[in-house]
Amino acid sequence: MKPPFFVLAFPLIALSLFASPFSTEARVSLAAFRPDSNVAVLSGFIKDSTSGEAIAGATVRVRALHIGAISNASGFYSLHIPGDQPVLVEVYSLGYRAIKEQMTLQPGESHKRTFLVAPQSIGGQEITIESNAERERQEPQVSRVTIQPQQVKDLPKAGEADLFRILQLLPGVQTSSEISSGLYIRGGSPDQNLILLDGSVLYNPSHFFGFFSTFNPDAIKDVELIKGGFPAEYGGRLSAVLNVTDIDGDRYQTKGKVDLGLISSSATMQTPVGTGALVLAGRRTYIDVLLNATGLTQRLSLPDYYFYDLNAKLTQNPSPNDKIMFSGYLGSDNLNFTANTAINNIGLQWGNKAGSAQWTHVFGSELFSKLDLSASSYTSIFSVGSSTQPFTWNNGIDDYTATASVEYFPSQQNTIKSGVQATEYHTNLLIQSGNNPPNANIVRTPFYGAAYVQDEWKPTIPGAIQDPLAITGGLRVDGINSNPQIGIDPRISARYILTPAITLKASFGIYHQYLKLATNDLIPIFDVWLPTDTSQPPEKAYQYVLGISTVPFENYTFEVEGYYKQMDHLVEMRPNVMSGSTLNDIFFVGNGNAYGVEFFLQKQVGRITGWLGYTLAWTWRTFPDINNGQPFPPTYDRRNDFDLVMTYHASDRWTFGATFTYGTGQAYTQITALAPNAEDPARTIPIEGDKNALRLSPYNRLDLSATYSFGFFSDKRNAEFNFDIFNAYNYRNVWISQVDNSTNPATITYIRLLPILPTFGLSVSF
Amino acid sequence: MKKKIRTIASVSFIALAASLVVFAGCDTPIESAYNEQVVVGAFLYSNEPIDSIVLHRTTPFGSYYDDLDYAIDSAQVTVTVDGVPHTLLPAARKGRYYLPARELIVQGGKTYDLSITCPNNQTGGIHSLTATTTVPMPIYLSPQIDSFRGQSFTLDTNNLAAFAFIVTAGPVDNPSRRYLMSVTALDTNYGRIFPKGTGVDSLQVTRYSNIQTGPAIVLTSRYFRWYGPNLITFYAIDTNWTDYQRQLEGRGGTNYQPSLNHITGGVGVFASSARDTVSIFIKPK
Repeated sequence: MKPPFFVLAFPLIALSLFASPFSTEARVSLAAFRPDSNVAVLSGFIKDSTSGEAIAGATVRVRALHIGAISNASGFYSLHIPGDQPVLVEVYSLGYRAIKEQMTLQPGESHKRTFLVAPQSIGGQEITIESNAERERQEPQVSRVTIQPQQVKDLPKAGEADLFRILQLLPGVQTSSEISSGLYIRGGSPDQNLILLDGSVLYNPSHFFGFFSTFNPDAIKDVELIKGGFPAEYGGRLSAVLNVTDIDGDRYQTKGKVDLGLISSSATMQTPVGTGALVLAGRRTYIDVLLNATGLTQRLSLPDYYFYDLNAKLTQNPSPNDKIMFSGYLGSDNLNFTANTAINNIGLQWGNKAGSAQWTHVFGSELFSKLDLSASSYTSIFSVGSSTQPFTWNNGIDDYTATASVEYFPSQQNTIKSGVQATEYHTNLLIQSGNNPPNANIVRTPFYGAAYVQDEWKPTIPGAIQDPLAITGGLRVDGINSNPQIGIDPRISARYILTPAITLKASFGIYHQYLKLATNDLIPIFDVWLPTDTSQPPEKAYQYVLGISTVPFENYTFEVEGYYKQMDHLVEMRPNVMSGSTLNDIFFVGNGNAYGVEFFLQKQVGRITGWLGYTLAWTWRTFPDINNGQPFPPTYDRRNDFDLVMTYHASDRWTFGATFTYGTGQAYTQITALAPNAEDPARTIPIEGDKNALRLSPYNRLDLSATYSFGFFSDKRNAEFNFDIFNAYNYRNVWISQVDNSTNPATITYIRLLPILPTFGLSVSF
Repeated sequence: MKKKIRTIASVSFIALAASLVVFAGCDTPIESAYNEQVVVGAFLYSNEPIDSIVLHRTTPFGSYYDDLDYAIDSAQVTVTVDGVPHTLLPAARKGRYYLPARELIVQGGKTYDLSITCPNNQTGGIHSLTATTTVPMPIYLSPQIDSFRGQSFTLDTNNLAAFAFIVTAGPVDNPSRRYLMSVTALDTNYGRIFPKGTGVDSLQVTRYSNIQTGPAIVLTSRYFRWYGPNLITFYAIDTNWTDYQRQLEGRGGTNYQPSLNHITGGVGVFASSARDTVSIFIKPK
């Protein structure tokens, strides 16, 4: 058994920090680490043959030797195969026709080969099925789920196809309510998730008061969710990573798509440009236009509201080994209400801006490098009251990040990743009434730095499957200059293929989070991100994950994962903060833990696709200043969560979708008593019991959809008409409970959520 | 045969998982018990006597609430200042306690300690409560606002936005001082500004809901409900009052929040302020 490469990996940090990783010298020195030069290296990219899009997560394998590699986010792979020996190389990716190619490489040869794979319907070729099972088997990362953009479009929607609504149907992912797109993953709050769009961090990816997420499904290429145990390359968050990659664009032909929905429309255009492609996508709601046109805005005194988002991406390949990408996102929600008294005007605007530039370069056949520069901004501006003395609330966070990373494939046994990150944050919060001194005026500009190294090590075990064991070990060191504490985060995960049908997985990691979020779970638009300071330590989590992945029946995968997460120095916002200059003025500090087990039965190919997920979970928080110091569950704690997601490809023309969800009711706090209002004893004020000790009635909902494909002024099936029913059996779930103390005795009233909601839409491609 | 064994193993595995769900997945919501507490309503004003400290017991949720049913008439209430205890007297209305002006006038800058004992009707024991407040220094409306005293103002309900001016006061005794304002209709015989059915309530006292960080608060037409004489009161409040107000304006509704409660052994408020007033007359157009 060869030693792990952890030790050798540390010099790579130095390389990436202090030397140019792109220099010839670097390549030469890295070659010295290669443990076995008697092999040949096959490397290159996996691309879509029709559009030239790079394909991430594709498997390249030599079946007879039980060796394989998985393409990275840029579609790059590197495979070490024995020289001077004919091998059959097979390339698989879900949704694509497999490629098999016989080749013989010379010892020491470095062979570049880009495979172009042709798309095919997931209606079921066995080679694809095997690919999926193989992919699941080989996957070294625990708790990783990928979502195909088509799944987002085929499943029922509430007026708008939404990525987050699909993610919420995965085991381990909860929501606070059906009108919230927030992701509560394994007992963590949404701020604990690192959400990346083409490398840029998004801080509040929601529209319409949290009802929709900001991701335009037509612009998405890949979605990767790591629910826990994420590797050292990611950091700065406690719970999970959502990595969304937009499409690069079609490099061979110009094409477009228009979606017409009930509340919004979107358009996407892709075209070849230079050595690459350009993608433009936009979406806007027209509720405001419709309500104004029908006079309802004036008659019902409704506010003007709309949101939009724009995506743009330009990709160029100046050489076969270089790819340059510029990506931009702009999204905004706007609400204006002008009261007839002109003293209760409300203005509300919030949104994200993000831009990134990325350069990837392949050195030889074993070193892949990536340089990322990104900027992201979230702002929220709220104003209410008279023009004489308006109450204003402005807050925002800007993030300027530079990252450099390398992936080194020195042998079939090791894949080393290393990188550095530097981020400057600008956060601000201004709460002010007229010209009075601000209630809060907090401006912070801290600097965050991180470096990591990780090695995926697949030791050769004689007599067994070639690489049944894969261990990924890594270390991330990070810190923020507003707090002296340095986070040292070891991460380790292991995968062991017990039998061809059973794979065991485990992981452990330490995670630090330096940004804290003050928010309102019900209406998450006033998010205030503040960097940790010397008054409070950074948040810290210990994650343990244990899982088993099986192929119980043909075409099915079944996974069970158990997890335990200890979280220290969590924060809860103090009630009605009036002023503050440190985090301690704004937040209570406490600890928490979360544990549970998830069951995930999935079928990704065939006429019927979908999954069945069940989560049994517990989440607890303990704060000395809340609930008399006794543990309490957060509102989003769900003991049981059951989800069924199904798509039925009935024919070439018809596709039907259904989602059903059932979950434990939201936790809420019981009112035990009433106390007279001290200023007016005729009125009363509620007194609460134990925090979140009671549950609303269980949540359940069925959504249905039907999609019909047809030719729109064309012989080709270039159009789809979709009909969706949200909440098909019209069960009005409870959102919140409220005390009505206008009655005597006081009573509890339940605010219920949406009734049955049929919607339809049309999309046309050209 | 091998495939059959694999299928049986798989089914068994899924069945085991399902069993786990059945046995372990049950929820056990926990009802919170009712605990009787004493609710204090006590506001001291600079340069004024202590005219009413109000005590109640809490009402179990779901029970009929009546002010007098839950008012406490057998409490021992003491206010201590400068080391001298003053025992309050029960007022004519049940649950109210006061000190005659001849015994004590509240002074700005001084700290007052409240002590209360009374029977616990639920356990048969004794409730024992304490609280402290430091009274703000006196505050005075600005000469411009003071000049409004007794003047008449016309309120045009068709142009409500036109009625708005900033009320200012001083001096500022503490940079972290907070301010409030209220409007009290002194005579409701002049009629409602907003007739029934317009959706505007008919409160006699309206309070500016947002605590201000400076002694300047805009007075708009929405604080007036009744024509006739109206009393505008400007308050400089202590931190207890600020925190009490924060509970009233709580996120997700008005609740007593333990972290903002400054009554040891009970709930409510023992707060102090300095205040100045001006009376104006509102007439319709």
